[in-house]
Amino acid sequence: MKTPEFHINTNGHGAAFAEYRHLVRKKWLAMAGIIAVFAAAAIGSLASGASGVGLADLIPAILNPGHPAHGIVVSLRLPRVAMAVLTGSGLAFSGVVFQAILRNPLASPYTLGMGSAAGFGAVLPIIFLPAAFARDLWIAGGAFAFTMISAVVILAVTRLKNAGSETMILCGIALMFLFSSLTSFFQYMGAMEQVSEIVFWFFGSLSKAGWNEIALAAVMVLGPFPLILRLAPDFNLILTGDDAAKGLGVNVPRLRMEAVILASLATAGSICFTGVIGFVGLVAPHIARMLLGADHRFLLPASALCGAALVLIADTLGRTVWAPQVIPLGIVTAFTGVPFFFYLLMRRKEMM
Amino acid sequence: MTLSIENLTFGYNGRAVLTGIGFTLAPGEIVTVAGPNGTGKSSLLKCVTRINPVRSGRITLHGKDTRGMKRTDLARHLGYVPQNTHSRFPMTVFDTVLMGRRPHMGWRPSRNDMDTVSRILSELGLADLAVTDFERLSGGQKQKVLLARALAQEADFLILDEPTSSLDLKHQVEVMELVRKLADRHNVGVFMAMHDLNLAARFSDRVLLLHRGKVHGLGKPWDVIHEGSIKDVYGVDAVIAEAGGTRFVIPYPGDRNGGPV
Repeated sequence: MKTPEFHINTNGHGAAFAEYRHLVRKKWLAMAGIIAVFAAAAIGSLASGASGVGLADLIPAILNPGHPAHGIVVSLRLPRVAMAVLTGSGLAFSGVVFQAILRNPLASPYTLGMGSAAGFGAVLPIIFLPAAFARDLWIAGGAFAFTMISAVVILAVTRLKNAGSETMILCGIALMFLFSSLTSFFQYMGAMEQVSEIVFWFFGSLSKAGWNEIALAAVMVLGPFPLILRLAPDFNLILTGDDAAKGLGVNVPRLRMEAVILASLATAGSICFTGVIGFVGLVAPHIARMLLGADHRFLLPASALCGAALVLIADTLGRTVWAPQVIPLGIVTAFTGVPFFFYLLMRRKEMM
Repeated sequence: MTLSIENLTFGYNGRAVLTGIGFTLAPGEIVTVAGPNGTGKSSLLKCVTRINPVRSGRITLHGKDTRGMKRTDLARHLGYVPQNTHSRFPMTVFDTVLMGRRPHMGWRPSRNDMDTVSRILSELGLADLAVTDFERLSGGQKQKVLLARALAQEADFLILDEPTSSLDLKHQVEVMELVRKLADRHNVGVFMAMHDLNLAARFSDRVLLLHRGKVHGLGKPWDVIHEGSIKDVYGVDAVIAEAGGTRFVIPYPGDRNGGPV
């Protein structure tokens, strides 16, 4: 049936096309709005802080190394903003990926146990290494390693059992409980200052990252993104079921494997230098989906921007609301994200 | 282009589900596989589309073994519509049908892809639903959209798993007439699974009656479907009655209003 010749009414044909084009145009408009919010959040974050350097000083402070505010903006705020963007976008687009391949709106890097695994990986050096031992690096390394270990375990189980999304989710939840109880065990056994360090790590913070860490995180987060974006049409297909996707030419087991590897790498990059900022990976994908639909060619970049904006806004609020005190990022993210999320949830007409 | 299945065997966990299945499907022909629940109809469809791994036997497209083909290449020749399709995320009808272009398109749909989709939507009377969420459609509309998606694949053969299973009488006939039209007008070969023997007999060129994973009969519908084969395969007493120039299968055990007259 190569190019079947349908006898059609061209008016009707044009109508469907025009309607779809209109929809696509609305998606671009939503995308432009998201970009604007993201840009505003980034500039706002650069222009606010306890030191009082504001919007007017921003450009001269960045361009002129002799400017009195140069140090504050370039060495303090800029790395924070960069880390916020990386963390927020990485968590958000890996959340999209996990929700797609698991066909589950509740999935996120954390429901697959990666948050608790990373936490446990960070706990080990806190408990067993003396502070002098470049411990911050070991904490990041441990978080990274255990995120990847949990991904490998999930992949191995699905591969061995030749299983689908349900097994993956159950496996992830089992890992989550395992690693949280291991972490609790060390919290219970640990000395007071170790326990407070663990608690602090779990709050999440952008202040730990210098430019070296940012460069590493950038490689881990931005590297997988184009590869994931390339798979966007296949993520659309897998939403309607494994068999349907296979029938349309998708190598489903391979897609799942590639997706998990790439998304866990981005997750690991997002959290190993910052700690647990769990909420973004679940909610940013939903915010983006409510704004411009589930087509992954739009959804992936849109949710990356939403996630970045969410973390930027949360961090800015955390730094300014109670200045000079800084409220930990993990706490503020939920405080700012949840009301907005509820608002969208209430406004939305269709089912999830 | 012929689709040919030779001596196909499939099983899992050491249990044979299908043994020694063989038949060919020509362009423009509708072959329906019927048989009791659990007899391997869906498995057979999935073997033909290579969604299930075939243990032994050959599936060839115009003499070429499909086992060596990439999934994308296979999808250009075989369109598959599974029994249940639902998405937990909102997808418009247009986007759903556009998925059918996957074997042909790159990352971004071309003008030709868009045109093909709109053409098929209007052909099937779905143009008005283009930007409606798929999950909001009725059962009959969903089935038509899925058929539209398979059509957008521009495949030579359609493999349909119970396309009428959850539809009311009107939509059953509508969908089957559409399938018949695709075969007659566009020369698409159709292989489908179906429970309703009357619908199968009315719209198919041949029926393959499956019994415990083996071919019980293959041929013209009423040559295959008769009192004897229904008793053998389903274990049910039935009569073949005639009305309005058409034959019908009427099962009668358990009829509270009396048995055969």
